Amino acid sequence: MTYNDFKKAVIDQAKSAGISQYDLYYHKGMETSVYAYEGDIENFSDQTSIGACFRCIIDGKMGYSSTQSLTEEEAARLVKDAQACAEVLDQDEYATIFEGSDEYAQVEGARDTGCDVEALKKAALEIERMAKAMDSRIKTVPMAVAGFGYGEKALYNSSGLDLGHSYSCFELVCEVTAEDENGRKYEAFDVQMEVDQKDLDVEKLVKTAVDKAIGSMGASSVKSGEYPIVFQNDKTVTMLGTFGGIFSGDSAQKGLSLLGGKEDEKIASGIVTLLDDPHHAKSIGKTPFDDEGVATRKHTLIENGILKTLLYDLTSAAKAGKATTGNGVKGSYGSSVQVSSHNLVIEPGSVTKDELLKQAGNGLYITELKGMHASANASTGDFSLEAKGYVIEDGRLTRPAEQFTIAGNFYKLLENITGLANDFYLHGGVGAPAILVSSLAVAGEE
Amino acid sequence: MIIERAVAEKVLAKALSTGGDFAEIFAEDTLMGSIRMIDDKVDTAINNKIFGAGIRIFKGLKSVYATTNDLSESGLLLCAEKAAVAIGDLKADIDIHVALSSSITPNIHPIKQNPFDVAMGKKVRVVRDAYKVLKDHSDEIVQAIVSLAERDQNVLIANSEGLLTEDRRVYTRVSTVGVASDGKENQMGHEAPGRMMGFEVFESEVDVETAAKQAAEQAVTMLHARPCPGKRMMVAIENGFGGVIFHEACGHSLEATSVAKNASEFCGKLGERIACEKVTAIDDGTVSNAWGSLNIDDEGTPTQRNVLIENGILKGYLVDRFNGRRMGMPSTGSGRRESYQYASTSRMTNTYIDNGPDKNEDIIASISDGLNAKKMGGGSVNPASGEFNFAVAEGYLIKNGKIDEPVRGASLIGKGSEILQNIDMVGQNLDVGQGMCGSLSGSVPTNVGQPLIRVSEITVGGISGGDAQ
Repeated sequence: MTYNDFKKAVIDQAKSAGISQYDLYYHKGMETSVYAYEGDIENFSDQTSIGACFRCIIDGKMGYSSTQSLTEEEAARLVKDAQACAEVLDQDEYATIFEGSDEYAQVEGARDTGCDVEALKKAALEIERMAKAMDSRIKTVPMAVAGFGYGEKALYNSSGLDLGHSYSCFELVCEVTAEDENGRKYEAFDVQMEVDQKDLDVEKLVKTAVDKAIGSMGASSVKSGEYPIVFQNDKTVTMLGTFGGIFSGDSAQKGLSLLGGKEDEKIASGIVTLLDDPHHAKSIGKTPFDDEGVATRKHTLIENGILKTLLYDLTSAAKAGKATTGNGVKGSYGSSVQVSSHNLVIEPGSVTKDELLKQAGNGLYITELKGMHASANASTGDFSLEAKGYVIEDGRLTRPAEQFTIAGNFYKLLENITGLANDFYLHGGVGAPAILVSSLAVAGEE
Repeated sequence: MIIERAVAEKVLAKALSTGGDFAEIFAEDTLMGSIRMIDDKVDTAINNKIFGAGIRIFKGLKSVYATTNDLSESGLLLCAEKAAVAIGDLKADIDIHVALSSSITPNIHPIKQNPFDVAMGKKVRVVRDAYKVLKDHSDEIVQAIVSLAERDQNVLIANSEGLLTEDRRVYTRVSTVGVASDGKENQMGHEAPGRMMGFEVFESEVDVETAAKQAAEQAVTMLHARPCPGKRMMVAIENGFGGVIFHEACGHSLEATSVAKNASEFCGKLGERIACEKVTAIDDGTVSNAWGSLNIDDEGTPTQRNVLIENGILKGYLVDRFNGRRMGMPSTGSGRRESYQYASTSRMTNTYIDNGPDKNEDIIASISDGLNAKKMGGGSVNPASGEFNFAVAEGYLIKNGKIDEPVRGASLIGKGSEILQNIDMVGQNLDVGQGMCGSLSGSVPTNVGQPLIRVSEITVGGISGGDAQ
């Protein structure tokens, strides 16, 4: 059945079960990807997936259930299972279904116009061809991908709220393997994800990946010690994305972030201003409402180093005696609502990246970071990450460096940011410029 | 059956109508449940149903994958047609007849108690009991998180070679996290045992209290630990989840996904010595009820015991159907995927370094200045260059052959081919640990394992540079 028929079936089931507080969340995603390999389209993927999630409050307890099968029987199971889930929980006096915001921002959605498969094929083939032509040391292009995604979400609840939004995204991926004369392999990749197709730049993508691979040839480790560190803009994004959870009011309440009770205190260097900007034009996840139906808006989290607010959903806000910031987010349609940023951005500075390197003097420029899922912990702030990059000597990049780690604590890193470049970069709901951190521990050779 | 035989035959015929030489349907009907306790409250209970199918077509070295949630005959035919159009440039339909015959693979992973037939209250008790153990362990444990996750995956796989088969995979896992704090700093401890089993896992295989106690103890120990010094060191990595070193440093690079495209440092090295002769490494998907096991892989091939390295010599790769075409090698029963939303590719199952010749006490005694990595966290690898990293969740310095004080915040990095050569002592207490492995075809359950091993030299990433005091 269609989603609208399914919605009616769920509403009927909820009514006959005597459930008065509930919501129904729906997501439909479509994704087309084309992979080129050795001058031909090797793989084509066309994926559609739908999901509906029902949650309800029974005696102050919120249970969840989801499905990918839109039938009468599933509508019944959904309501029954959510009820059964609710029953075993402990009471939460703050559990609530939202009444609706007075006003929702106008955020441009996307149209389901279908996808130009021929254009994707052309782009994927061009990525591979261009990468091999750019430098003879590029031996294989394991990934040359062009993709298009379209998604719709809808939220209906027992207070009569009925919201919808759609989004789309174009994506290019280029992964190259370079080989030196000794047969040693160097791998690098770059990704572009854009709301507007015209913002895609195949040549820039390929050049970034090729330069990264060729630039790292002959890399060696560095001596262990303390160094000033410049994070390339996309690596500042990686760090901020990894530790963004520390701004969750819910995590703070549960002792999983050390920022609890720190509002209005200085937690970062005075040059740092951090925002959550859910309506940023170039953000793929831009949205007028969060997954509880609350109107989203821009919030300043850190202003000149001072923590102005944490992020809240309805429950954590009620617990803190504050208003929600509209940051109740589901990781996927079937997940529970958690506090999360929509589009976390560090405001750029005024100097160029090269000037930032001069400011660093002698240190390391980080272009690759690995191990974020295991060797970085948002609750403790600790990180110890595999890194690659370049040695900075007298303000200039001199040689490629690899096989070293950078380690420290993100809370301290925020205090030690001494420079911000003007090269703002946005990816996957996080944006930042290159930053200079006065000192981090580096482990490499003796 | 999720899809009737006659329907599957029609769908496969449609998939081949534009010139494909192989077509496959992977359909699933899966229930996933989770219950979580945090902040003294059981605050989340969710049931999710995953329901859909993926249709894959090969034509030589080309492949197409399309998915749908509509498993009616018309929905599947539409999906097959979409895929057929994408792979073929043939204008006229080819009339193809596919005849399927059911194949029943013996179930070597019996399930006694389906977790979805167990009363919710009984499951909540498991969670509450573990939570209490964590919180009661020490005043320094300020927060605890316990979750119980179950999955009952029913799959149907049919392909144009005539295969029609089904499999059921039931998983049960508990995750326990302790957070220790002194008001200024936090440290965490984590244990998450699980099996490809039903709820009976808690009677026989998994002792929830022990897991919770270990998680709490780890958090408290690390709260009082000094930052680990960062430098090159000799390291003894303990058994069980320590096997993540082989998983990252070598396992991923032996997957056909990388090898087929010459994007692995182990390409073309079959029969060559790639490790010290004490090292024998195996990927075995047939271990009864183990976390990474399967009766058949997600392409319908029975899983097997694959010897990857024997006495230091590279013996084999992990191969799926599609990459096997490029490599000219048969499937090793290694085609896996998280769900129908991913095309399968070569993945690990239960991968471990086998017991070796060295006594465990000799390994520790042999190290005058090094690190004992008692509990490992996760890691990642770049198969092309072999560069890997992984986290040490609980570490101790080794001084003059004896385990010394605890250290925190360490990670280990290196290159797979180099580190394999540096594994120079292999102990005798093989054990496994459970993990979720993420790659191209999503997140799949895998066991990692090994006995205590010694790595002669590896870069240890730490907070305080230079020598330890």
